[in-house]
Amino acid sequence: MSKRTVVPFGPQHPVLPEPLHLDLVLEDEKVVDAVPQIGFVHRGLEKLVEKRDFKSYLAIVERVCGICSFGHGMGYAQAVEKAMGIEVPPRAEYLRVIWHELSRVHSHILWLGLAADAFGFESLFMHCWRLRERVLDVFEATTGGRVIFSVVKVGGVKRDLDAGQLARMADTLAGIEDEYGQIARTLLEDATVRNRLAGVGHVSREDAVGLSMVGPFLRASGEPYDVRSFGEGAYGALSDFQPITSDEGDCLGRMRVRVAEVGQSAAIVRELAAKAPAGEVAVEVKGRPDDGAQASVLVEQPRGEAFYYVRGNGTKNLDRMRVRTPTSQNLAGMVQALRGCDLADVPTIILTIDPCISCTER
Amino acid sequence: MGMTETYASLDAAELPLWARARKAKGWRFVQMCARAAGEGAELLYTLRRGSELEQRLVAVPDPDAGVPSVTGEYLAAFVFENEAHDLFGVRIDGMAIDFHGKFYRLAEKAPMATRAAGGKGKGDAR
Amino acid sequence: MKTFGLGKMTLGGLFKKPETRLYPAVAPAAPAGFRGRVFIDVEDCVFCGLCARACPAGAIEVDRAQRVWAIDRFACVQCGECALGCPKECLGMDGLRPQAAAAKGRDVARGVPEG
Repeated sequence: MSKRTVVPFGPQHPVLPEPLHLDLVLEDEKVVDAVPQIGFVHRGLEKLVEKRDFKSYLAIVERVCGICSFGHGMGYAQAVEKAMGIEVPPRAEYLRVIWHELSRVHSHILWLGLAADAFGFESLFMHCWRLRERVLDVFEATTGGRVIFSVVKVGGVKRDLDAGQLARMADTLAGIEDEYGQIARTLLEDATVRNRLAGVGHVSREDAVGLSMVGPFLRASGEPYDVRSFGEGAYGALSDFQPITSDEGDCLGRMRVRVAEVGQSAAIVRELAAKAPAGEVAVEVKGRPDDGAQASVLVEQPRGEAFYYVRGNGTKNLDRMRVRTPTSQNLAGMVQALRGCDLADVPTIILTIDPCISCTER
Repeated sequence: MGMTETYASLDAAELPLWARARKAKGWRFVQMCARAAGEGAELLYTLRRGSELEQRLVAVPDPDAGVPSVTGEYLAAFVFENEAHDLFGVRIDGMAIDFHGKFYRLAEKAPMATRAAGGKGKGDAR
Repeated sequence: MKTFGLGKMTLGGLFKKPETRLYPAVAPAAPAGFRGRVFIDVEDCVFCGLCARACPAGAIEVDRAQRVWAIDRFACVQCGECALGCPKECLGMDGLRPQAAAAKGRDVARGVPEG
């Protein structure tokens, strides 16, 4: 009977992008169990609905997370629009999806850099973030901000994109894809990377579904669930959308899924930029959510399925706003993935679920 | 729109049976959240099958009365049940992973159980 | 199996221009529509206070009687709501990025006295 030790991991740890605490129960070098603890960046943002009216509150929802910022704004706006019965003009739907898919591109490139850094490939981290800067420049030119876009509003979007901007967007994406392809191939085919990632943190398909996992974390275990396949908003205009899956179920599979999703998102942006209808980009929103009006929306954030629920009470403050982010759903799956791995693999596994703890804790 | 949702009420005592029945039919867990309602709370459970969302509202007039956990069927719910306990003071029995109130480190107990009066605050939009 | 797969990119990096800028000595040009700093053309302002109400951060204070418009630069989150809602279109955002300062304070703009 080997001795069990409990090693605390985090919340301050050089490899973690955000504070997360794990109590790792070790037998020799193998992790037998992990108990997660969050709550280090809890800001009580859901309670702020009491202080800001439902239109201004969008500025707060956007700031739940820096990486998934646009998705949160879009999800909240969609939920409020659904609760109030507001129909957003089609061009606004297209622009929202274009920006959201660009968000996914930047998030996955960011993640690839972090994941490489987790097992020591620092130069690749620098290259990835260098490429990501070009996407951020696109955001800056089209929305006025690099990280927090402030371009969604209840009723549509605040800015329009003209043909020139859309063309430059497509050019930037094309320019990134070549270098990104080189980086991705290096990662996925390299022998040292394979030694670190293959077979590590395996989660079977049954476990993944049973633990209610979402996002690329789930799709890498072979389950093809992606909210975008339901065709909400401008996603319904896509000629074909297939969730990208991998049947490997380990860290390498998750990397493969996210790398492929960048190409898929770039293709979506190009397709929608070409198809975007002309027209207005917002409708005026008058009135307030009725008492008891409630609606929920699912959005496929870069990290997975995010759930937004709003409920009105007749005043200009919402009764309840709920964001359920993908990482909070994936915590159970993360614990399962950690079982049986080596201590040295713990950072890698945590990063391959793409944790966004500030989203989880709001 | 691609997705449909239906809202209905559910009794707290029926939660475990409902979760088991739904899981057997392929419904997947989406989330659980709490809302301050009157003296107690109201819990919202969301399940999804395909593009259908099933929303169930469970009234909890007395937060100390105890609500059965669904973690027996859907383990991922432990995050939300602990959160509902820490933020709203709702007692949930039988959580598979129970942090006993220490999931979020809070300065005051159940901060979201009471709403601040009014809502004037800053940012009254045009 | 490739080793040194990034060799070409890395070696190229030795000879290409660096991707980074020596900020703040070399500041990046702000594109059109950049949300940098809120500025006001106070001659056109009627001190209605709509901007103060629209601000989600409560950074703007408007005193109609004294004809004073003030903004707390450190509270401002550069969202642009004030500029969007101004009925006189006297608010805008320029390309100046938020500046560091030794102390927080408000930027005050005083209107021309009436009459």
